[in-house]
Amino acid sequence: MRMSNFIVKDAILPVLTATTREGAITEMIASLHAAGEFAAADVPDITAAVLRRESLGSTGIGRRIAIPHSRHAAAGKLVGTVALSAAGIWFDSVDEEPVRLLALIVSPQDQPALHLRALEAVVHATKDDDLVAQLIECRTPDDIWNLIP
Amino acid sequence: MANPPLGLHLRPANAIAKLVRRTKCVVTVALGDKVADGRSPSDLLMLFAPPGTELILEVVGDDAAEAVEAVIAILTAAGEADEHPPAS
Repeated sequence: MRMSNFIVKDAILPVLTATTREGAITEMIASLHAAGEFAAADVPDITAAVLRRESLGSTGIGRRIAIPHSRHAAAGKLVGTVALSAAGIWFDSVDEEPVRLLALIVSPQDQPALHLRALEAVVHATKDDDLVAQLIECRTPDDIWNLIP
Repeated sequence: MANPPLGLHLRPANAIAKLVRRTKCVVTVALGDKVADGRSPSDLLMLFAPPGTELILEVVGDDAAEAVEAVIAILTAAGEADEHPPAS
C-alpha cells in the first residue's frame, strides 16, 4: 500500500492553524469532512476516537513526525490526510521535538489489517529523511501531493 | 527473545524507545535479518512485526538486566493493540 492510496488530496493542510495536539487533530478531521469524508454528525465522535487513541500513548514517533489515527465504525473506507505545522506542535514525542509533519489515518472498525497496512505505509515513507525534509518545506497541497509516495 | 502477542505496533515502539533513552544501554531488536535501534520508534516500526512474531533482543550496558526485563514487559503487556482504542 502507498500513502497516495488513502490520502485525500483535497484534505491536505499545508498550513495548520492549530497550535496544540488536540487542535491539530480536530482541524485535520474537519478538513477530511470538508473534503467530503464522514457525515457531519460523525465528526465529533471520530475526533474523540483519535484523541482517545492519542491519550493511550503519543503517536509522535520522533523526527518531527506524528501519525494520529483510529479505526471507527462510521468510516466507510480508509482515508487520511497530511498536515504541516510551521511552528511545530508538542506531541510528547519520544525525542521531545515538536511535530512538523502529521499524517492522520481513519479506517473502518472491522478492518484492522487494512489499518495496520496504512500505518506501515506512513512509517515506510517517512523513514526517508530527505522526503520528510522536503515535505516540511511544502507550501501548497499540490506540493505535498506530488511528493507523497 | 520476546514474542509480543499484539505485534510491535506504534504504542510499544514508542514506549520502548522512551525506556531505552532513559537507560545507559544499547538496545537492538531483530526480526530475521532486520535490526532496529531500540531508541528509534521509526526503526522499531519498520520491523513490521505482526502478533506472535519472535523478536531477538540484544542489550548491552550497565543496567542491561533491568532494561531487558522492562522491554520484555512492554512487548508482552496485556492490552489492546494500537489500532484498537477502547470504546469510551
